[in-house]
Amino acid sequence: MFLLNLGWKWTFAALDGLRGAIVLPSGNPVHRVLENAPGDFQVMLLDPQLYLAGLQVKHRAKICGRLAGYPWFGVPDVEKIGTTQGSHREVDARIRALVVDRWPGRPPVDLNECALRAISFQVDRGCTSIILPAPLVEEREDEGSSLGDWIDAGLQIVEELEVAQPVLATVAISQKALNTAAFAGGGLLEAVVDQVTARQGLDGVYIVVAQTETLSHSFEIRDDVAHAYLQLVRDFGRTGSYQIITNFADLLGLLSIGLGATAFATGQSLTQRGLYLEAFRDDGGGIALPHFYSHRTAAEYRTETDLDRIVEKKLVRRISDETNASAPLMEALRKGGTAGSLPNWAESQNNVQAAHQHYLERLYIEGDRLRQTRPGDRLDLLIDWLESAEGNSLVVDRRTQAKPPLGRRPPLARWRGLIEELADQ
Amino acid sequence: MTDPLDELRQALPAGYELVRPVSAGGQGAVFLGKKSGALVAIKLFEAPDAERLRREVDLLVTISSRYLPALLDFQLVQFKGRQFPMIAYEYIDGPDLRVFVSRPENLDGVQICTIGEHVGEALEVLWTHRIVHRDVKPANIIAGRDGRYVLVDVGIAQHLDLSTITRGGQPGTDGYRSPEQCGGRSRLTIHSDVFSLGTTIFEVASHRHPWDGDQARMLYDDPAQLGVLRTDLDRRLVALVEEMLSRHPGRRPAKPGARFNSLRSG
Repeated sequence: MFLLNLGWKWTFAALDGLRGAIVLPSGNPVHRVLENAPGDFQVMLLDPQLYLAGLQVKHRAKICGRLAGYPWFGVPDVEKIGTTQGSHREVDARIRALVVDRWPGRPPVDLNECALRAISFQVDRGCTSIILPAPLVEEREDEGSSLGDWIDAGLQIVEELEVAQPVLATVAISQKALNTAAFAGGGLLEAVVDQVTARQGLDGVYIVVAQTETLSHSFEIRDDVAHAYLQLVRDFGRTGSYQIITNFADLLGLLSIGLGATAFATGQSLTQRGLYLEAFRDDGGGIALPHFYSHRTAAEYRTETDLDRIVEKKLVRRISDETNASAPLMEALRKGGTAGSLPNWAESQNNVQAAHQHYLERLYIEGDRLRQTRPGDRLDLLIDWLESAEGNSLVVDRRTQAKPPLGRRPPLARWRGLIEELADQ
Repeated sequence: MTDPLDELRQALPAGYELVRPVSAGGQGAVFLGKKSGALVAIKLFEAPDAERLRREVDLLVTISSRYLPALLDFQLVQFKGRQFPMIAYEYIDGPDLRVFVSRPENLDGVQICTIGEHVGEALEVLWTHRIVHRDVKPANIIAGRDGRYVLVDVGIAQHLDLSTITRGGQPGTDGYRSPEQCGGRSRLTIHSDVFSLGTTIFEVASHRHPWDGDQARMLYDDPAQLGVLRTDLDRRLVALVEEMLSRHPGRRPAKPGARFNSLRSG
């Protein structure tokens, strides 16, 4: 199943057929979450994002201010500001000013209090499953032991509050901890799986891997990060009874379904598609151009620069991908036209809404397709897709002879090799 | 010259009698004794940190399972001019599981499942308090004459009791330590004890250690096949033991007692 990350824009929460969403505190001031419901979804989650507690506030007052509004981050005096007079904008500004001095830059030391606040908040918001808060695993030598303590604290609160919803443990790992040994027998990933699966009372895991460098696109996810996501999914999947949700793996999340994940989440902006700790700077963001996602090639194309060339070389069939959002574009391209003739698809600055909607629609369509496929057949279906996408990409590359090749695309062959290797082990 | 046992008898707190030594090793010794006329096991430690031991005892007193000996008392004893922590446990009358390993008769599937259920439940109870025994082996499981299989030498003060320290300086016994325990992982889980229990059950069921006692081979080689050694056993039981012996802790069962119970009942 596909879950939509809800950051600052909730524009796509009303997409037809969308079954689930995840509210991200990093993208939403707390008052917004308290006063609004994003929609009536089959799956509605709130990720406590305690793995962002280690962010340093310098150059990140905006996001730290947003997170500080949520009570489990334990930032002193924020609650007092929250009850003062003024517009939301004024209150947000006061909190942002406060965190410059008060943001701790580390997880709270009182695990039980933090867990109580995070879990109560999710219960009060009507979340369909509860995600236990846990900080980022950053040290190779940590062996997942602090994660075990956080899960214990969360499970104790779940019991005290008699929480009825399914309970998911956050497994948040930093790329910093992913040396070669981390993947081997006795390594960090094995230790983390050991700590989590030894505990009774969990219904599943919520997996995120934080990337240390900001990539220009989420398809460029580094091999060690991709490996960590897929290995964790496979190992938790072998328990046979866990719900497994991956977030911030973007398109790779779809692949994780083949190894046992039950759902994957991503969003529209770079920080909703990948977890880049460096991307949360106050001076972040910028100009975006629309890109059309083709599931047939697993690539994104600039809507005029690339697609005009594809039309010229009569390759539209190779990249065709029709959803509600892309139907007008597909029709135009098939007739030999250009995205430039369609206001929603013209390659102009920040004209990205239709492109984002199409991408998200495609992901939830594919997520649903997998959900309806027998679990044992999902991996084959995904490998077939990767092989087919590799083939279509090769044809597009050969016929357009573009250097560099058209489109942004993930390392399909490496992903296929990795998923096959992990499935065989 | 004074008999050290007589000296010890005199050193024991009021109400205690010493019957005979049971085992001694490293810096710990176990005696059969009596307290107010009832048989008890008395363990004496050479402990550098009695206060820490007392805190552990306070925790262990709260743990209750039919398959763990009840912890009855903790005191400090003056002996030969030094202070030794003394712990008194419920005495479990019966041999340890080594008798099943050495004797030629096979245990049947129900008996094997009963051992797994009882000791597995003891491990589960310990793990709810986040205690890992670290030294599950045939010698530490008593086949009680009342039909219970009781796990003794509970993880108390493993760091203090040098009789359980192996060549590598880590708690546990060669041939029974899990791969992660051998690797020196500091925060073990119940999965580690489950591996040791799987090794024990394999040995008790087949009279053979799954890696012929070679701890190094346990890290890299597959175990011998219980299903080949005991063709009469239920395949589900064989599969459960194999699962317990997985090199990957996350693939071992976390509720071994319940799993053996369902096999025995099913």
